Amino acid sequence: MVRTAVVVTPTLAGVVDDFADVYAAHHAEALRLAYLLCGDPHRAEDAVADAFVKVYRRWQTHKIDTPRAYIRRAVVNEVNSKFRRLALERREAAKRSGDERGAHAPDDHVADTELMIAALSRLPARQRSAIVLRYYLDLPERDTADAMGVSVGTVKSTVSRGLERMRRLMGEEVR
Amino acid sequence: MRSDFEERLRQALEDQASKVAPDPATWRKVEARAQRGGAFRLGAPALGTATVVLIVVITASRIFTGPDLRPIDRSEATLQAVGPEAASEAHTNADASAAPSARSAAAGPCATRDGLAAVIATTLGRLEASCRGGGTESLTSGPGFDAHPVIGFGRVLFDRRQAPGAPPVLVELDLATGQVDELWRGAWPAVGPDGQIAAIVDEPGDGRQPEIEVVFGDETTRFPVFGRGAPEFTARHLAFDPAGDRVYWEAGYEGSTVWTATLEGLEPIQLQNATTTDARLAAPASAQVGTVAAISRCCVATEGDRPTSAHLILQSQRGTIGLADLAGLGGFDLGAPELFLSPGGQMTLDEQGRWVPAQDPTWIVGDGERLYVVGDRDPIALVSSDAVSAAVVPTPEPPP
Repeated sequence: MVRTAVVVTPTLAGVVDDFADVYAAHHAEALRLAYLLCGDPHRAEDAVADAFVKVYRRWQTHKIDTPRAYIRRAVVNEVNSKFRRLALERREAAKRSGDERGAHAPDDHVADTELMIAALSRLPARQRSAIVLRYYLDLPERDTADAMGVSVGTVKSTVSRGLERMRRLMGEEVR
Repeated sequence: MRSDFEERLRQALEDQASKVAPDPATWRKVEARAQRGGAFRLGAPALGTATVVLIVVITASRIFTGPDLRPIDRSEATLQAVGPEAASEAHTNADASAAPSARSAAAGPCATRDGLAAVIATTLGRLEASCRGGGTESLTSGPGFDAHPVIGFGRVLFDRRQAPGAPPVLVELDLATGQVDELWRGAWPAVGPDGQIAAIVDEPGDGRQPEIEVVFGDETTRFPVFGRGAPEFTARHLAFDPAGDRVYWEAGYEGSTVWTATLEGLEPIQLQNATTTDARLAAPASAQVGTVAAISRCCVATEGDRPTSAHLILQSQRGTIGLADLAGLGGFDLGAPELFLSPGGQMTLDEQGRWVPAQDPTWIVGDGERLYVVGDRDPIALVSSDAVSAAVVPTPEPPP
């Protein structure tokens, strides 16, 4: 049964303004992080929107001391919870970019970026998250662990395995 | 000091990230979704001193008991996330209601009973939500036979047979939206930590062994459940190791056996009770990396023999540990053809049937008819006298 109700609430203009400021300050970084994690700009925007909704709900009732870290973690969780559904699209995109590489004969730098991103897209979600947080956001291991909800030791081993797997995928020598 | 590879990786990530630009429309999405979830309208100071929010409430029973479980029409009603984490958060913050929040419009399984604790498959082939506050709610009621639920990533995966003898199909139920999707053929689904989906694929009569299929994005891996060839073998009760690099399953012909294989090696290895070599292992499950739990029955030599004992054991490379004597469970059928075991997190049931924290990790054990929750130091509790399998909601991580 569907019921509807109209609820009149007191103003939250202050809360909303504050949150709008937080959104404006962190949206771009959150989007780029989500994009590197899932590989699709539209789905990245979608995941970021869901992440900010969750942050807002928390924002209403709890003080968030470090919004940037909180948002980062929300984005990682949101993207990874959708990971399975996105995997196919991401990998299809990787294949397409592989086709284009041959057609356009790009320079070495562009080719290297595409190879790196293609290899990154083939990592398990946890390895990919750890690598993006460490090498794109340049987070210390402790902050990476916090964003992923795992221990520092897990971050170390996950990054190490992820890098090794990327090298193998790219046909490079593993030291 | 970073290597050349790491520097190239960092540069590649920067280059790739620069390809995407923020979409101004995203703010409107945030606003709309928060509003649909019952939150206050965002970014609307022009509305003055009051904000009017239209909250559309759709009851949990409407969503999760529909005869065909069609997806909810989002234009009709949209809910806030009601997955395990959200349900748990609502439970944890039950007192944080000083300010109206999205939780007031919470819906989903057990939304009014402190959230979802477990999903149970009944002997009649229906899935039920077992609520933290006690009681159950129906999740499926279609014509199929639903069984073997597992929970992961806010979703319930289970297998469904449209008719007796029909091939099982994997089905996904999104706890946040109530949407149900059929995935592909398979039974006994298992979900890995990175979202891998494994299942047992068995085509009776094709002369081949059952196979384990692991799907990860567009990568599919299949391997036979018994390396040396035995087409009569059946397979069931598939489980991932929490590390995600290994699966465990039960195979059987005359009596049950437990097997494992790494997803890199794909070589099935039979496990045995190191302390009682003539015991038969069944119903593997895992809650700790590198450790498998199973039910060890002794002594079953041939099909039809009735075992005299059954123990819940934990086995790892360090050896075998006996946890609980299942013969002590009132009414537990030691000779049941199909046993069940799954992690219970660290939850048990109190005398009022409410899910409460236990002192130690717990396990759900079943004999095909009754399900119990078993822990080392907690009293044994009956989960259901009419159920074959269950999945307890994983312990949520701290928000978000």
